[in-house]
Amino acid sequence: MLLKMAFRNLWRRRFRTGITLVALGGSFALLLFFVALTEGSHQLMIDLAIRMQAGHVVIQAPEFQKERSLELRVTDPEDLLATLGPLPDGWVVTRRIFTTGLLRSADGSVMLDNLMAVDPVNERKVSDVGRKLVRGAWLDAGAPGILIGEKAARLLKVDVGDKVVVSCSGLTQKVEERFLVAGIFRVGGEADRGTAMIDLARGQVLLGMGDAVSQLAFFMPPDDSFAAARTLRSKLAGRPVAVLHWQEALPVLTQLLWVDDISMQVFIFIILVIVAAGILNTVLMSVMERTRELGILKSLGMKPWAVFRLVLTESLMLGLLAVAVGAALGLPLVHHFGEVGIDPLALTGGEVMEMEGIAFTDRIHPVLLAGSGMVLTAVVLVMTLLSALWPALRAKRILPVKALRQM
Amino acid sequence: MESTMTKPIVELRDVHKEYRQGKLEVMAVNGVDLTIQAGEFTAICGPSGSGKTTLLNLIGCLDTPTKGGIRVGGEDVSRLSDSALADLRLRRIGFVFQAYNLVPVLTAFENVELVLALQGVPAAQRKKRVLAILEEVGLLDLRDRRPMDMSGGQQQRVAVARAVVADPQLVLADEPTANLDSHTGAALLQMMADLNREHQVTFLFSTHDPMVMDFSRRIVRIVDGRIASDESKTHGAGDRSPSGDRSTVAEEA
Ligand SMILES: Nc1ncnc2c1ncn2[C@@H]1O[C@H](COP(=O)(O)OP(=O)(O)O)[C@@H](O)[C@H]1O
Ligand SMILES: [Mg+2]
Repeated sequence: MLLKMAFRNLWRRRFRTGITLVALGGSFALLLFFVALTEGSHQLMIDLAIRMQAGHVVIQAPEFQKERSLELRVTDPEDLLATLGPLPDGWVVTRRIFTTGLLRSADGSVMLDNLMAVDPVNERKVSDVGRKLVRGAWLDAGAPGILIGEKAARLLKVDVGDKVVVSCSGLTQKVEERFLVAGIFRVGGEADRGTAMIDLARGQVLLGMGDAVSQLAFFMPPDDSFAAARTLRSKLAGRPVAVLHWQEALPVLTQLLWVDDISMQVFIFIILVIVAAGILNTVLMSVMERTRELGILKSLGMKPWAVFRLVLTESLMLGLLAVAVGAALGLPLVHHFGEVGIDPLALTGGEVMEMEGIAFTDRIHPVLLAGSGMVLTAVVLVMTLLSALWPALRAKRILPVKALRQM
Repeated sequence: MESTMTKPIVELRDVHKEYRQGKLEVMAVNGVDLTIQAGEFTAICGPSGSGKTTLLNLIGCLDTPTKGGIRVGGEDVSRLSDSALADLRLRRIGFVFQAYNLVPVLTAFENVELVLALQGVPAAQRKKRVLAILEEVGLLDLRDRRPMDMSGGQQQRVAVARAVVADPQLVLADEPTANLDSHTGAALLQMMADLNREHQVTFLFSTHDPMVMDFSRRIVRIVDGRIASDESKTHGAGDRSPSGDRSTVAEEA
């Protein structure tokens, strides 16, 4: 009977209830979308950063994280991999050397702040560069090919098949070698100028590294990464290497995601405060208008706490309807953009977002995690109840004598 | 029937109620002693502002006296909590107000049912009793109407049905006919007189309507919060018209 009354009271004021529902439901839909967009962009950032600079889990020399120098190397990568045994299905491991250098042609030169020597077979499977070649082809094992960025190619006035010279510091001496441009990529941002890739075997010879590499990068289904880091760490205990999860290997990214999470929470909080103010206003108005009616109920013998519950029930109903409306608006929105993606340039107003030399130009696909959806729903409902608390207390305190005298 | 009239349902001893509005003090009820027995059909009469509503609110446990003692059904109500008072109102007292005061979102049926629902009576039993009482007051056909779709007389009969459905010891009616035309008022009074005679429902009215006084068997006059006179008639309620006439009068309401 209380439910019936609560529902009819909302229905009686359906215009106002409708406006409240649209406002609350709209806010909830906005929250859902915003949370999904943030999650989607985080997944994208993590994915790109991992592909370019690390792996879900990486093995490298203990000090390499502090100083990316050639000396800080993994000297026996094959032995390490043998110790680990066969990798689980769906895992990829790629060997990399990171260094810096200078790239020259007859027409100019560019600084390479990220010259990578990579295992061509496995790097191909995970590399973002491999997916974003605009001309030419991927590296051939053992061949003197080099992949350079579009900006570098323009500055050097070279194209696929042209000669370029790489000069850099090897492990023991300065070295220089000719390469043929195998492919030109466009990943966006600084990487298109300062990143280049050569074949691992050639790199090892050129740099005097022997069998050593800078990093073994493991790729796997993202959810496995924490467990994988633990397993690798225990299997390689005692070896002079560090096993890092990407959150440790990419501290700047981790920090950025953390800051972004906080700003998202602040945004959610602001929206929720607005939502709470809306509910407070609606419920308070409805209590004030019905002072007389609530007075009648009390005079007939409804207990003060029952009146309190009646108002809370009504608010909770409003909250549930708002969540339903919000889900009906927000979920299809998330789903639609989850499918087609959103151009990040549209979000930043044409500016390419770049972090640590990685540009985020790929389309962002919003994803709503079940957990986030449930937490948001719970938070909105709790907020609804909290903001209805004061009006409900007012309703509980209505004096029937006074209420009935108001004509 | 005379035997039931010896049990006091309400006892007021030297009851005062003072209102304070800023510096102004109004003694709305000023030393009232009053006893109401079961089965009475009594009117408290007095001009506007004489303290009738205040007195009824005190008796109905909606308000507390500044001084004096009130017993309802033998129980001293001055020491009860808000919640206990609500329970006492729910189980022992029925209310009919001047302005009908039905719950607007509920139908006639549901308005009457509400009291039983608050009492925790199971749905099936509620339905039986509500239908019976609605038939008694001639509103069976209007049971699904909302208050705003009913005339004043019809609403007030729903209010009476709501007041009596749970067999209260006492029904308090504050100027129940004040907003009705005399014809409708007479029909309503006749209905209450019938309920009083046939089901021994105790009624206490406040009024300045001579017709209500006509119907009443006992008339308590109050002036400025004090009882000025208290007289009982040998006949009153419902004696004027045989019960066979009730339905015809009721339908005009
Ligand atoms: N809440 C209140 N505050 C101040 N004065 C009140 C209040 N209620 C009633 N009164 C005063 O008490 C007196 C009695 O009022 P009331 O019981 O309503 O009389 P009646 O019902 O006979 O018209 C009046 O003078 C009225 O102004
Ligand atoms: Mg009055």
